[in-house]
Amino acid sequence: MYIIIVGCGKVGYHLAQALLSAGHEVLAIEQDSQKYAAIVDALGSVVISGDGAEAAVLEEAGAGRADAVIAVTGQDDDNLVACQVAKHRFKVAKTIALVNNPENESLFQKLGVDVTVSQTSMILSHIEEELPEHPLVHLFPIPDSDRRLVGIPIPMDASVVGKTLESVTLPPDTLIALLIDARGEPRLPTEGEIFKANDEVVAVTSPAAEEALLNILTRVGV
Amino acid sequence: MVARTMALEGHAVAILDTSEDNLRRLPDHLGVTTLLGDGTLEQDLRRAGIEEADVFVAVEERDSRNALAAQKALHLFNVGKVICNIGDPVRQEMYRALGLETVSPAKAASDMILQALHR
Repeated sequence: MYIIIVGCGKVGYHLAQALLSAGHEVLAIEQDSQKYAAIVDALGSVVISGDGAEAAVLEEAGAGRADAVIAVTGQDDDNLVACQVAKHRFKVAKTIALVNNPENESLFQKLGVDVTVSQTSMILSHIEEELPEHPLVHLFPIPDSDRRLVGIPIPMDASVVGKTLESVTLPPDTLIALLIDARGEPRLPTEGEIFKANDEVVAVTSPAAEEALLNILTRVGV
Repeated sequence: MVARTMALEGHAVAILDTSEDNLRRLPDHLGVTTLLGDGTLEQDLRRAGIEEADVFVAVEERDSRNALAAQKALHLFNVGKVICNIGDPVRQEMYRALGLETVSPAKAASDMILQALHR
């Protein structure tokens, strides 16, 4: 693949190295002249100097034939614009942006950036998974939609325990994908299947329906 | 200039800028609200009252910051009219196609100078 990396700081540098050693054709774009010189010393002529959010620079980098553009500068605005120019101007199939400020992640997705990577969100979700009282875990986002795969454990005393799947009304945009029992045995969510205590429910849901789903599956029974 | 003219026309204007010096240059008597803050951050945009705004104008120096701020105004806060300064002609055309109203003061100035030359 031909991959253009915009921004050759720490993330960009290691990415370039890894992709080069995996046999890909890589070109990095770095604006800072000192960093640029250091990268030429370390990696050779796989870097050009310039503002990778500018159409002319991306053109010079050969964005027209690139399979992917990865924008990993420390500036979210530059990462967004680089991806938008790559996508709309050069029809690059895959655009990936580093999101420095987590509030920008959903906007970037909405604006057509194919993959967003937020270090803050990643660390937060790892911490959340470690916390036993956190009942809903985000497993991963579904590409090209705002839906995501979530995991919800069913408490011992939940009202859904013992009920069949078909008898429980789920919120809109929600589908149960898998049930995993306390011993780690997976079961397909067929209609006659029942919810058991300590089941882990894996479901596809939307941000709007998430709270309602959690409530239905964890509400304590009467 | 835009702020001054809009305020003189009787509109309520709030200005958000990351530079205190820039804000200080505005004369007090215009009744323009000035706020020190970053127009690409949602909390600062809210502080400037973007949720009630009819018009949003992004005219910082850098295209990318204007593009990010303007797209937040358009897609997150649903401001009716969003205008932004995009200097690079290629990006200007692209963002126009993506629904932003773009202007380029640099282009306008050079056009006027060229016109004056040919006169």
